[in-house]
Amino acid sequence: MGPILFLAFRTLVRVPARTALVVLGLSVTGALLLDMTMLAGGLQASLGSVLSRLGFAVRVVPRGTLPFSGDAEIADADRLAAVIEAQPGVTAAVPVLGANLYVQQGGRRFPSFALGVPSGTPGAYTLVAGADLSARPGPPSEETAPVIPIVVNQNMARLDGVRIGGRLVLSAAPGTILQAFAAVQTCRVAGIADFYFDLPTQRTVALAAPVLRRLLNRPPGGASLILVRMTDPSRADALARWIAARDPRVDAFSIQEFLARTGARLTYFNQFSAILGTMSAAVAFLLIAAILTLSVGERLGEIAMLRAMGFPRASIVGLVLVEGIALAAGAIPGAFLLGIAIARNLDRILLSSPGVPENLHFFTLTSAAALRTVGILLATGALGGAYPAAVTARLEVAPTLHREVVS
Amino acid sequence: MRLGLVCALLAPGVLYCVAPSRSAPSAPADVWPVSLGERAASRLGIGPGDRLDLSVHPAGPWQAARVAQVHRPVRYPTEVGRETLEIRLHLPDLQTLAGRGDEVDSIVVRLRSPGGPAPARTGRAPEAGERLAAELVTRLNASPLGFRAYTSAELAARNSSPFEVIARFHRAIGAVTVLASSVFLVAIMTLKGEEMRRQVGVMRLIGVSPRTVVSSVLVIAAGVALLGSAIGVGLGYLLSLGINAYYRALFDTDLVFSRITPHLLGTSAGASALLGIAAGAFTAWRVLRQGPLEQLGR
Repeated sequence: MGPILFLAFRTLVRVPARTALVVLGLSVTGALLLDMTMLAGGLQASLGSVLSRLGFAVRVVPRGTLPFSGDAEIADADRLAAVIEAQPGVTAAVPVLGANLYVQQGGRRFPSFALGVPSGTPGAYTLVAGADLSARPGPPSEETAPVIPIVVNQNMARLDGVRIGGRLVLSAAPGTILQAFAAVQTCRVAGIADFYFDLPTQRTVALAAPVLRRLLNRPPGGASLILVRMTDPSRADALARWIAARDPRVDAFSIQEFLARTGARLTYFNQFSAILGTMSAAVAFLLIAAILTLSVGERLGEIAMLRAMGFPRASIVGLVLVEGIALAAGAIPGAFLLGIAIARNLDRILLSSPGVPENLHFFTLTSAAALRTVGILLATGALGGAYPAAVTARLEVAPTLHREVVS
Repeated sequence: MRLGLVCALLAPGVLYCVAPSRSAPSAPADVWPVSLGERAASRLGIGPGDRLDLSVHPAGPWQAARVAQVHRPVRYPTEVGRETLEIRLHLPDLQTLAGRGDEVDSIVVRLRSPGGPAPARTGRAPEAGERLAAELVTRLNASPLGFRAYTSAELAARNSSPFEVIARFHRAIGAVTVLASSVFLVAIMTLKGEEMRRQVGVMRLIGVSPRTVVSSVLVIAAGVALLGSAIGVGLGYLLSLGINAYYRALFDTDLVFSRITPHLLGTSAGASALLGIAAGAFTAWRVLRQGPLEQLGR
């Protein structure tokens, strides 16, 4: 193997400009290949990473829906959550209600997404400042109802100037006239939190679920989603199956099942990455095959000489294959540097699409994506070297040497 | 058959016209007539005249309905990836079923000027209709009832923003592929230049001017680029046919997913020619750097 590696190295450095150009070309196509492997399943990997960070192993939703995808509710969710919580290995089952509300601050009114959660620290968000909902209700305002503590997201603080301790009025009614016919609640901002799946300008508030139900005029006990925390997340699939079998009104998903369900909606990106990834690999193959074929064509005399000196046919074939693999391997660092830089820009473009949560990414560099790219590039190098290797294998030594001498 | 109506459309007050060949006998008052989307009818294995039960909750209560017709929904591009089964009911029926009183999700307004029929039907300048719509939208949004009105143009602009993002994404990917093909072309032309070294040496020794040598290298490079471009257009055309056939079947729609336009062809050919000439110029510079005797290996 030593002589082959030595000869392959010497051959490549003998024409540095050509080798540099090929490596540059392969770096660009390799970068595109890396980007496509990052895109294939990148959004799912990113979503999975955020979901795992939240710490909830199972999500229970109304049958046929995904979390907060519509108005559907699990009636009597509090009781179902209590039953789930009694299962072995379950540390918490948190019913969460999601709905749209209008928030009024001074004379301004803006739509907001509201999360109705149990008091305490439900884990549906991460507090970044102030206190959580466990704070006791404040003194009564002009209305008879007490002032309710709420937690707002950072967009509200940034875009609307909402501060901890500030007073907000919450209502399901969009206008001041209709508000006269709807429930209204004055609230005090207890804390500011990161809500994980917020859109870039989305306003979100979290408040006690009973208060939200009253504002929405909904019966007690209902929820949009139940989040389940477990001591051993590896048992999540079994628990999800048990919940779905016990209650036909709901679907229960472990994180893997949830990602599989959402993955069905990402057909475009998966197929786009498959098509463009294949084309990148094809271009890399053509580049290596073309360059090596021309290179071998120039060196036929030299190769015949090696054969005449006793170099076995298999070693010559191996030499050409190693050259192809070496070209591909030489392009890997450039492909990764360029690929990551391009992916950042492409990610920024796609994230500007409306309806994409801030914490998600379309391009995610996972170890699987990196290994797949390296594997495909090296395999492409070997395949690209296959044809010129076959040419050298068929080479007849004496006629080739004769032609060289005559020319 | 029972269908849990999880996500439904609040349809206009009347059903779409029933195709005569598919019409069903009128249903009793307590059995609601419904119109099923093709996908829903196929998935449920039912057709006109068949009975089904509807509910907004998986556990009921259930309302009997009869399929009056099967329709092919007009899908917007934003909806093609969704697997939602579509069913249309009379508006009061759906409001009763959902328990939403007289609530609706949206109201579509057709305008008519005081002196004549709707602008869309008179062939008048579209600007006049848009101005009328804009004025009405301004008046509606000034009311304190808490809704938001949009003109059709505004709504189209809002809904098309994901596609503008996708178009920018495709342009960025296109730029990367142009970069890759440029390097490919330069690499090939470099090899071609090395191959032509002796030939160029002879040409220069017999008095051919460097300008002619450069021109010939440029013509070869542009020719290779344009030939590659022509083959690429052919492959792209085949790929486009395949993409349209595949995605139309996958999403059951008549939408066009890939289109090769004359502008695209012009851009592709122009970029190829420019890249070819640039690669040729680089190669010519490399070839002419050496003297004729050096090129002949002496």
